Amino acid sequence: MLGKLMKHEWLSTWKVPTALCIYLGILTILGCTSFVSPLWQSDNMVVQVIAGFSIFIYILSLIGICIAIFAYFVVRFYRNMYTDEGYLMHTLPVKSWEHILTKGLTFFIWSLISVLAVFFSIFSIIFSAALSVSGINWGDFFSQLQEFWPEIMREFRAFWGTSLATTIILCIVAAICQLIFSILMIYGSISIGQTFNRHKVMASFIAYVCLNMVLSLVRSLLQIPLLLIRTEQLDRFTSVSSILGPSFWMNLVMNGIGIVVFYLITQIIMQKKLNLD
Amino acid sequence: MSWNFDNDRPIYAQLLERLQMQIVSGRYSPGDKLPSVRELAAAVNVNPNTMQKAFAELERSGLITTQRTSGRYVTEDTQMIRQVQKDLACGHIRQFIQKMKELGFSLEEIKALIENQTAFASQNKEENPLLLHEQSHFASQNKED
Amino acid sequence: MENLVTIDSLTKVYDNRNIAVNNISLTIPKGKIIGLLGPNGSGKTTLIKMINGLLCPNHGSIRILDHEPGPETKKHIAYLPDRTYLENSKKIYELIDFFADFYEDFQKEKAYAMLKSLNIEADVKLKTLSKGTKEKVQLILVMSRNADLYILDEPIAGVDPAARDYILKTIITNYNPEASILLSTHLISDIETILDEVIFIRYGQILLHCSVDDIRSAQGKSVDAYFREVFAC
Repeated sequence: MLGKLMKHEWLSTWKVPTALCIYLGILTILGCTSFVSPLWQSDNMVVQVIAGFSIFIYILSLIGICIAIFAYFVVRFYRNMYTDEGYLMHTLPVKSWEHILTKGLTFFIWSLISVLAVFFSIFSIIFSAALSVSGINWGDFFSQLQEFWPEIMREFRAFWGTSLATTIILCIVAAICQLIFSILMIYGSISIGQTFNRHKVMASFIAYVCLNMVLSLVRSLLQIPLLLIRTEQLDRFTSVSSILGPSFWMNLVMNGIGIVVFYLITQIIMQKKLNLD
Repeated sequence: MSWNFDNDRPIYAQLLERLQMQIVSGRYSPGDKLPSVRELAAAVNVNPNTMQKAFAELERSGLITTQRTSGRYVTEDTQMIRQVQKDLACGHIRQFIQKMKELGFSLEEIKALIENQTAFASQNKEENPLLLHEQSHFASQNKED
Repeated sequence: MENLVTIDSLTKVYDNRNIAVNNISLTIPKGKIIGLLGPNGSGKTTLIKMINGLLCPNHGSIRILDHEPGPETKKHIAYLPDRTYLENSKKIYELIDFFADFYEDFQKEKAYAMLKSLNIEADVKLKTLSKGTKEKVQLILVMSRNADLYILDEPIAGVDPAARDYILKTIITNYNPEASILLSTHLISDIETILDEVIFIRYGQILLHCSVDDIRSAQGKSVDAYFREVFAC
């Protein structure tokens, strides 16, 4: 059942995010190719204004696409689970956790894709710009990079006390946890809003805002004892603390707990407190 | 085909009557195979269980028989069919006499009216029932002239 | 097990004030077509939702084929709610594939045959259809399942009389002695002849539960007329 549920979830939701990514792709290609022309070095005021404006549009689009994909999946969860479509979903012979997992996973995958796409887009644009300005070509750049890569790594390890790779991996893990946590907190807030009889959407928003405030408070409070602990003592536990610091680990742990808590909230509300109109 | 049902009597009783009528009037001849309960129920828009009840009653009375594998058949016993036909007819007649009495006719008057109508009916046996009505109207008009 | 559904002392209260279902006990045997009749707000929909596992009771139990409402019972129940509950942007054949994937007892050929006899194209999006046609599609999907319990909430309300006849005939021809159908509707006179039994419900309680023929013999009137009498405003 899980596979089928996943398949259908994907089939129902791939069109909109794909269209948005294609739009991003087109923007990126346009941007990269524009650097080939002498447009950007022009002295003409009108051209400069248009150039500035197009940068503005590009950045706005980047932000817009991320928000759009995010919003699309939030609405998808709400619409499919808690409105009329919920009558179909909750009478399927599947368990609640399978719904949460499939929806959460699709949300997660597309969030990753959008982040990667934006990252790749910015990277390409800046790269094309830099290359056209400095006149270096791609091939030279990459062979240079390959030559100096081991030295870069050594310097990093000597200075920070840990390898670049480990740091990057930890950051990625933390980011993934943060993403999963955000998704589940949204699902939890929507579900909490559902338990009210009237103004369900409003209640979900309020729940989300309140939860965020509470979490910020908790985080701030927890920072105080951390500031009091001396970093050298923590060094004994971990070698990356010098870069990432104790806050990093505290955040990771909090996210981990949050993931479990919000998953349970969503699951319990779906199973016991379903309140479809 | 949608049979109209009276609202104040159990449906299975009305089904039973209809089926009896169809058998005695020859719509289903002796030895004919009857449609299945499900088919007939769907055709006249009734619950199959109710149709089944009617069929069971018919079987109990002996008007139909069930062959295990092939279905339900009208009995070959033409005497029994004739008897049921008579019984139904008597039932209708009794009802009719009751109604006529309510209208205020005596038994003699009822007999006379029946003779009149049956004579009229045999004269116009071949003709269109609509025309029959026009004819009687015409005849009564002529009488007054 | 003798009975398909056994409900025992079922109670559902909203907000500590509104008792939607008040200590109901009833059994639904196999092979019956049962009408659930009552005015708006009588608790019909709440009861139906609880049988489908969409709502949890405050007290009491529901057992369907000896299981509590959950994925195990949902496999055997075909539910038609009284609203458009399918994704509007999907095409009909996509919905058929969806149902076939999740329900083992779904028969694709039957669905396509019914669509054909009602002149509905399978290659159109649900949102392009009229309300009546949408309802027909939803009903076709439900009746193409070979379930043990069909729960139909107002299946003929939004449909023209010819289609109503088709729907009622479909219900009759689908009849199987191992399955039961629970029909909730206001159009009693239309469906009376296809019902075995009726349940009258008001203020969350069952007023009566007996066969159509019993009502006709005892009251000398149709269920529709008797309903109007009992529930006169």
